[in-house]
Amino acid sequence: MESSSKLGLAEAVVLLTMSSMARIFLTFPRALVEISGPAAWLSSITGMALAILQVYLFYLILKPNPGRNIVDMANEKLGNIAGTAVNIIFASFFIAEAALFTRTFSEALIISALPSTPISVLMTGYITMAILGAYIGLEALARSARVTYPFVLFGIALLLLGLIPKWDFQQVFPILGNGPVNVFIKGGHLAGAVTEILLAAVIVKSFHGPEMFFKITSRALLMGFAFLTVLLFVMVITFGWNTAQENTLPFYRLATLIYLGRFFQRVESVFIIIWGFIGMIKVALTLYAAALTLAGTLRLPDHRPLLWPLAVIIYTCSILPHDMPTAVRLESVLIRGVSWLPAVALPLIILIVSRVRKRSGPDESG
Amino acid sequence: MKNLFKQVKQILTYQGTPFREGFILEENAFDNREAAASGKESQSQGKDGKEKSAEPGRRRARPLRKARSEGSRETGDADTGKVSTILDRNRETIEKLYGLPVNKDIIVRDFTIGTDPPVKSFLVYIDGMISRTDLNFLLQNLMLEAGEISRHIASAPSILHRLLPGSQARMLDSFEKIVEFVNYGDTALFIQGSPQALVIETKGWEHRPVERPNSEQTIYGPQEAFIENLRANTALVRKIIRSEKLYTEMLSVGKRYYSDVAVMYMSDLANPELVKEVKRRISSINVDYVTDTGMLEQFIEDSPYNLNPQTHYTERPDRVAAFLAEGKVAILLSGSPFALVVPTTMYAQLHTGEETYLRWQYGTFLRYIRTISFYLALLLPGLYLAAVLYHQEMLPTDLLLAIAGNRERVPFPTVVEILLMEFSFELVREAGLRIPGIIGSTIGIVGALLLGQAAVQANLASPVVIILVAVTGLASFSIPSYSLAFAVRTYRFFYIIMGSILGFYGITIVLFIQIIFTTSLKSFGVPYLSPTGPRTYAGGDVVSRLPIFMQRRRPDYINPQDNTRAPGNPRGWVRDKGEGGGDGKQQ
Amino acid sequence: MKAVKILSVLIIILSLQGCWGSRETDEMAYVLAMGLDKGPDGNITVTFQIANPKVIAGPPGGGGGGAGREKPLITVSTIAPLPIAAFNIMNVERSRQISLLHTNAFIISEDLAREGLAPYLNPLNRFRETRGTAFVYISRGKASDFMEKNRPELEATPAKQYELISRSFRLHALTSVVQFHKFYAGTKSRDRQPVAPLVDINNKGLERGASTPGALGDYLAGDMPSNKGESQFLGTAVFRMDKMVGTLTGNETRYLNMLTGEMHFSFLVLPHHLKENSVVGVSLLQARKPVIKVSTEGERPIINIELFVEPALVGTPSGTSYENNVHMGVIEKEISRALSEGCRQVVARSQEEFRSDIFGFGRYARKNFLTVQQWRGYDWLGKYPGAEVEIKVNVRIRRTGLMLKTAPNV
Repeated sequence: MESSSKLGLAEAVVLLTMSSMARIFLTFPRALVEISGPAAWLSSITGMALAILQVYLFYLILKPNPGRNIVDMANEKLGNIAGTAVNIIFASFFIAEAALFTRTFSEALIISALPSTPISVLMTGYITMAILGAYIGLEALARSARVTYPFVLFGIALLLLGLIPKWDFQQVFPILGNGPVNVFIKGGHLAGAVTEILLAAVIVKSFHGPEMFFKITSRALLMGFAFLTVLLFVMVITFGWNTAQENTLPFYRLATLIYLGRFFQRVESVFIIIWGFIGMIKVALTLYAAALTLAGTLRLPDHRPLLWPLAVIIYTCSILPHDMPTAVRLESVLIRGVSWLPAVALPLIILIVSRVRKRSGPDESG
Repeated sequence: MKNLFKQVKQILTYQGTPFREGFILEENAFDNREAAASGKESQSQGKDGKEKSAEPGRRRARPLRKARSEGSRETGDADTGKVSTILDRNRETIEKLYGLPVNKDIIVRDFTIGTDPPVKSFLVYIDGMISRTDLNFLLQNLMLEAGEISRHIASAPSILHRLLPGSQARMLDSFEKIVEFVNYGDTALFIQGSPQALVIETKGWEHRPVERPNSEQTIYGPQEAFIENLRANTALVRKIIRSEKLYTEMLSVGKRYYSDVAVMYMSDLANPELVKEVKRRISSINVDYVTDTGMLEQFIEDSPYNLNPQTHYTERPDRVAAFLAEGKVAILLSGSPFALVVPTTMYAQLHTGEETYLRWQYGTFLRYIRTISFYLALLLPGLYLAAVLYHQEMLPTDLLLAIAGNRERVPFPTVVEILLMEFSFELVREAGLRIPGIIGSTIGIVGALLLGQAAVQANLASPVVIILVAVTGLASFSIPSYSLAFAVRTYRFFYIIMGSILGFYGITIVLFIQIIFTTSLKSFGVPYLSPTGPRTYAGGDVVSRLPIFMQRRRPDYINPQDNTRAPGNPRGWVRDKGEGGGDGKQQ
Repeated sequence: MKAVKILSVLIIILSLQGCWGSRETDEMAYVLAMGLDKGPDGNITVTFQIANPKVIAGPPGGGGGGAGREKPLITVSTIAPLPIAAFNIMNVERSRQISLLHTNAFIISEDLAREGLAPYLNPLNRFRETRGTAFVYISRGKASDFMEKNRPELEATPAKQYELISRSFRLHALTSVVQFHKFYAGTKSRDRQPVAPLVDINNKGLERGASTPGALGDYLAGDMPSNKGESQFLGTAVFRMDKMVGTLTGNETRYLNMLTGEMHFSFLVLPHHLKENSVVGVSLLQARKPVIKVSTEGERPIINIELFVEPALVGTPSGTSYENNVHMGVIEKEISRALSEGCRQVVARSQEEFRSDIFGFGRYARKNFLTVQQWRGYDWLGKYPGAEVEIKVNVRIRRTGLMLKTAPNV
């Protein structure tokens, strides 16, 4: 198993950052602008605070038990039946996430770059790369992320800076957007639902101890949210929020607007490489986490036999939604509605049970 | 059919990875102060290891087996392969061992040692492997000068002590060992009445002189290259590293006939684990013969199925010396003018060593040019195809119209056009290499020019494609490592295929595969993309080259016993104000 | 290694299924510009300018010019209910797939624009091939006529012409430049109404147009005296939401650009303040973006504008030595008065005649509101015509050209 190879701080942070960046390339920023109006970037900051709280929750669970991940904790603290149930919820959450991401990434490619390519081909590409990545392992994924990160960073910086001539800072106003309730509560709730925390809690065995969990995850989230905030800000000041909420793929639309003289324009296709790559890393990592969770639940020593069947399940699930809007809606339901179960409720139960047991433990023995 | 089914089943089902003794260079083993202490320890360990690994018995056992299998059927009755006191019997044994009347290489020279009662004796050597002057000098001494020791009995020890002017001579009593030395150009002296034979070093075969490097030319820096002589090669390295800490351990590979392998390392720098692993891999090779480091490389590399070269193949002693000073291990093979350096990284393969000799600004400039050409060589045709076939919007309108206009009369699809021209380019390259002498390079240039011009005139290719292929070809020539250039060329075709099938998405797929294979690759326990993936201290000499006085530490990923290259301020004449210079920044 | 097997299997699978959607350049016809005209029965007439790459790239291989008489551009029109539908139906006539990927100008006729553009802009924005960075022009005559007659002589293709025109705007500021995405956003925005440059072909030759101009460039496109048949990019079409409501001449456009801060350089001719029938020529540079403050506290919004202009003396045919301090102050004051007067007139027209905030003052008003709901409730567009506007122009002559003194006639 992978437990022997540990990830360095930089690799782990970048891996999780890239994974959490995946959503900014899709329809997610649009949804946030729709809710919060020109103040979408404030929602993102609120979301970051919420996410850090979640990290702390997981940290409380993981800290006293070095060498165990959240799956082991659930098995251990909740007992066999409840623990397995919880873990299966975790795993299916990852599966759903991977399936929806595969679908939306493929749809996005069709919309933006490859209009006459069948979606099954694109999805096959994503799933195959995910299997490959998850098979070769976390270490290689993290290193790949680390190696490509400067290019991704350069690409995004290029995109944002290339738009400077089109910036209009007045577009940020009214400062509170659609009102504090929308911005801070609804928007924050939407932005704060990140799956990377649960993911990090699953792969925590590859970090150098649970102390690193907090360090790595919070840093990755800070970076991921910084990207999201900057992107939302640039999006609003470039488009104006009214048009921004119309665009299916805001990142792509931003890229199409780059116009720096006669030769440097229409560069959006180059960004396909960046988001294609990030999408592959994201799907591979989620597949890996799903396999690892399931392997932990079934107490298998190796996650790799599970990759084929899981990939087939993900592929099948991802092809189920009828159309892109359905997939997008499902994703927002998953993230806004359901994700709080595995991301907050279940960990909270684990935490409470473990605290109660700890307190009652000595009584029983004494 | 069954085989195919098996293959498919193997792909679709899970197999546990076959057990292979993995090797990971553990981190931080020598990072702290203990380094000094453990350094000594490991030094002695190293010595132990040396003795152990030399394993004279085992090494010599191989030729013994060979000798038995070939000639010992007859010698079997001749008492257990020891030198006899009777000269004629020794002669018979030698004749049997070498199959003498038939084998014309072996010369047996009978003569009489000029002591007072003259002693009959004979010399055995291989024609062409020995130095004639040495032999003549030897004979002169034995036949003419021997009178001075006439009072003594002419026995092997006395001759060894008094008569032999040669630099190396030893007394041996076993034929297997004697034959082994004779095979390597030494001369054996058998003396009537002596139970030992003398083996005198008279190696002197023809070989090239040390010449300029052929495949790794530079403007600055030493202009010497390795030659086919192992001892000369080790000396070339030792000439640069004049240190008693430079250890050269000798191993041998090959079952049918063996070649000497020199493993060189700095005993106070190289990680002992690494040295042990190198020796373990080399001594475990079980094959009939290995004649070149290129063959040796394929036996000891970690992932033979990965495209990237995992050992550094170089012909420059100064590069080997520089790597040794970083704590790496060099492997030289007798008869091969190339050395292998392990572990290696992709970045090391993209360096030439010249950047270090140049001032840092120029060196950095060179590196950047090379980085760009690396990406061009890898991606350019693929990106062109993807852009022209799928993403026409990204080309400026005028450029697109120019491309389209030139393509109007070309009958092939763009992929075929590119593949055709790529193939022609590879052809010119290969032919230019094979065509003898001066014509070769002429044909290469003329061929390329004519081919391109004619292809455009005949409407077989558009001018843009010709330029593209030419630039790609030039870019791939600028990759210093020949093996890595091969890997890049091979990957390029994958990019061309996928770029033409799926546009930029196809490019992304191949990129993902290439990156993930490359990052999961290890060369002797060192991740292939160190120090960027994983991120470790790099020493300011990766993509850009920092000023040489800032490179105060050795690269971390090799885990040398001593990390510090220059404690304190390397430029003593510049006063280091309050440690302001600091350590080399993470770069 | 197993990975190699997987890789080869993947490549085989992918290559077995053929190529999807790859389009060779010689299977495509690239539309460089698209024109929209009013058509019969509520349809529109759509005109395409298609590039002929064979001619544009020149004969291949450098050998003899066989291409001969072929035209570099093909202009075709059709009638359809939607612009994209027209583009699709054109494939019936052309052997090649028609692509809008390289369309970088949309030319819309004034007739169509006055009826409202919303039904046509939406599909153009949705379709993936049309580009947000394409330029929008309003043709005073029929767009198809303009495209037929517009033959740039210096450029190989009109695509380059449109792009270069958008840059030469920086040299005179007598027209405006708008890219499609901005135009589209403007038709949906409440705080900055869109404008678009006017284009037309000059049919009148060198004779004076209908009116005698009061200032330099006080024409609409097509009216400026010049050679017959030249295409002119001059003046501005003003929109209220998606409907065109009026035009600004080149001279007025200069003030529009000055107020929005988009003027880089412009040339101005003023009447001499002392001598009758004599003029002073100055070139204008905008030193800083205008500072605009909008107060929404009272019943009527109050708009405070401060402009910073740095003129340079270009021509003083009168012979007055403006270089000395006294005259310098006078001319500065004069320029300031003229500019603020010009600006005031343009703003007044926008308030009374167009009832459209083409300057984007609303953008500055948004600051005064906390939420979108409050801003919507304020109804800026309704209140704008009644707004009080105060304009202050700071003028400072920094340079006087190559002459530091005008020597008197001896």
